Amino acid sequence: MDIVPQLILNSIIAGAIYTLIALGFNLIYGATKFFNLAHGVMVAVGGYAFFYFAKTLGLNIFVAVIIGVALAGLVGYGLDKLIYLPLRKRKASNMVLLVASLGAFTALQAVIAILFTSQFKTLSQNVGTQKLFEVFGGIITQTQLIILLAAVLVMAGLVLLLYKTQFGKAVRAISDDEEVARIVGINTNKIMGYVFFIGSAIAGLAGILVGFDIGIEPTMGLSLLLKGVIASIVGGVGNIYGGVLGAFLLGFVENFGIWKISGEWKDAIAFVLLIVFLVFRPRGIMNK
Amino acid sequence: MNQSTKWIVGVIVVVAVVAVGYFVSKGPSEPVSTEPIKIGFIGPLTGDAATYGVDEKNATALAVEEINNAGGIKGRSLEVIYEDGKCSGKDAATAAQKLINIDGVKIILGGACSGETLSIAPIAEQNKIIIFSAFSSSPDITKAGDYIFRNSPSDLDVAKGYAQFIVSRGGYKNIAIISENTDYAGGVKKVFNEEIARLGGKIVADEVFKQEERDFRTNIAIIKSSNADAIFINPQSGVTGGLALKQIKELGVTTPVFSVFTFGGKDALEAAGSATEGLIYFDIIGLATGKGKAFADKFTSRFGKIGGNDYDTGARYDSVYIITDALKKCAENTECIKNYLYGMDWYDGTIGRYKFDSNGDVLGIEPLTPKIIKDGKAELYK
Repeated sequence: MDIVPQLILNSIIAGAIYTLIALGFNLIYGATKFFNLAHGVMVAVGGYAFFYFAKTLGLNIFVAVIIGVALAGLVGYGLDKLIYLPLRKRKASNMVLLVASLGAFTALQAVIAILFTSQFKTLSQNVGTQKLFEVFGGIITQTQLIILLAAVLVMAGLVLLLYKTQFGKAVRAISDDEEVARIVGINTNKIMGYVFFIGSAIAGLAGILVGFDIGIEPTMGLSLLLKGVIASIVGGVGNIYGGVLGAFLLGFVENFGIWKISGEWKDAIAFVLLIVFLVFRPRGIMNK
Repeated sequence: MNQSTKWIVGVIVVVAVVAVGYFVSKGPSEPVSTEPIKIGFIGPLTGDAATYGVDEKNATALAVEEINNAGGIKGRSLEVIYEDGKCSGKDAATAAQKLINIDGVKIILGGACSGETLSIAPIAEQNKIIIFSAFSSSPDITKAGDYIFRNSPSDLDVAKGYAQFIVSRGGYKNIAIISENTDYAGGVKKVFNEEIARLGGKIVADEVFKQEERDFRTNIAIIKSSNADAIFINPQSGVTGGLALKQIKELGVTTPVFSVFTFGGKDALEAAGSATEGLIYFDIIGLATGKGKAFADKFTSRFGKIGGNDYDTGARYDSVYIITDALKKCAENTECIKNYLYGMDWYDGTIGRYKFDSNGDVLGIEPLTPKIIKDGKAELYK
């Protein structure tokens, strides 16, 4: 049996998941210029919110998805208003913001573990009986197809938002130069709040989708965040297209990397890719 | 200062000296202390393997409560200090240092994961501290030290049994194995692969994944293309084992799948869902009979269904009673406890009748019970 089609599919699925993380991360980085590590925990917030509303309260799945995504967005928005905004006003350095976001990450992860225990849970109702689709000799499940679709739609939506709306113009202006944007009359703090909402909501969606494909646990955010950050840096940090390219490149390198060497090297391969880029092309694929 | 004041001061000084002398000399001859006897516990209380650690903790708490209600150890109660080993050697070692140096315990119940036990064994051996594991099955523990005991069977026998069953009873020749990268699973893999080769079979794919991995699709794609006629999943925890099985089915693989006792726990079943249908796994004898059943009922009514593994939970419960017997005989003299455990007569526990061999390994436990999952329920494989 030929293994390559399946490896390509696996790479694409991994790439789609990393895309969802990298998109939100890059959006927030673009506007604020700091590494928001708390982005990782939004994945778990989304996943657990969905779990609570759909499985514990028994709400309709689609309603629960919307609530989960919105809640992750709100938590991100809240973090900005409660922690990052006061720090920015005090002209805190990016290092301080990074440390604060690490604190928020750890605290929120602990809260989730206390509320829901750290036991692994699956979101899908019919685990193991999914519809399978065959593509050129490889197999993809229904959930994975939805993940792929979601990644494409979110990316398209984000591009439209950034390049076709007044809001997008403002975000891009802040990304270019926050000082100047403020001088020309853009309410930068308000826009940044919205950016946090949107970025975190995308991470929340990723959490729900991963929860369907694999499952949720309070610590799920960290490994996804690391992969999302690698994808962002490889692609060009702060750049939307770059994040997507980086995500898929990472997916392919990881999955093809462990074809001939043992699977426990997967993370090592991902970080080698990161280091290669940091040394030879620190601005990433897309950045000028 | 007049004469009479001098006299009074003199008398007070004399009385004080005599009184202090009296109490000091009396101090050590005071009858046995009524302070609780502190023992340590190390097991994974968080992370993938937490179900095992939490079950063990609950089993320990239940046994301790019963022992204390029945009068404790010669009037002293038993107190357990619980530490999280996180199924990692590093964390278990830190926990052991804390228990031994700060809390001053002489006995540690744990670890659950082989990695935990192997990393605390040298520390314990050096300090002459008794280690009693209920679940670590790595073959390396056999020779880990004189103070190291376990009532869990060694994988040396268990893993050979897996291989013999698959090759001799199943008739499969080309075997694919997918293992978690931990001390325990690595131990099983080594013995299993050697035994398969010895029996004339062939390992056609030997895949390994790291502990936090959740995406096994590429490992499975490689297994699929290896044309194996049987797959053996060799995980450390229920979550990884369950997810690997689920993804095997999701990639359309129909090859028969075998796995280990982790599928006796609800973690693996939750993660794999209906993908478990037709799986054959090797359980250790559970808590089905007499004393075991009584314990399982007591445990369930108190803490809910056993999440990790019946055997482990029962073995941990037994261990507290065995240690209590030893403490009654030896107090906290670990040299004496060690000799007591080596010389212990057949113990009638929840997991069966057993004793320790000269390496501190368990004797008398039949390690392999093949089961098959049919219509979502595990039944004995015949």
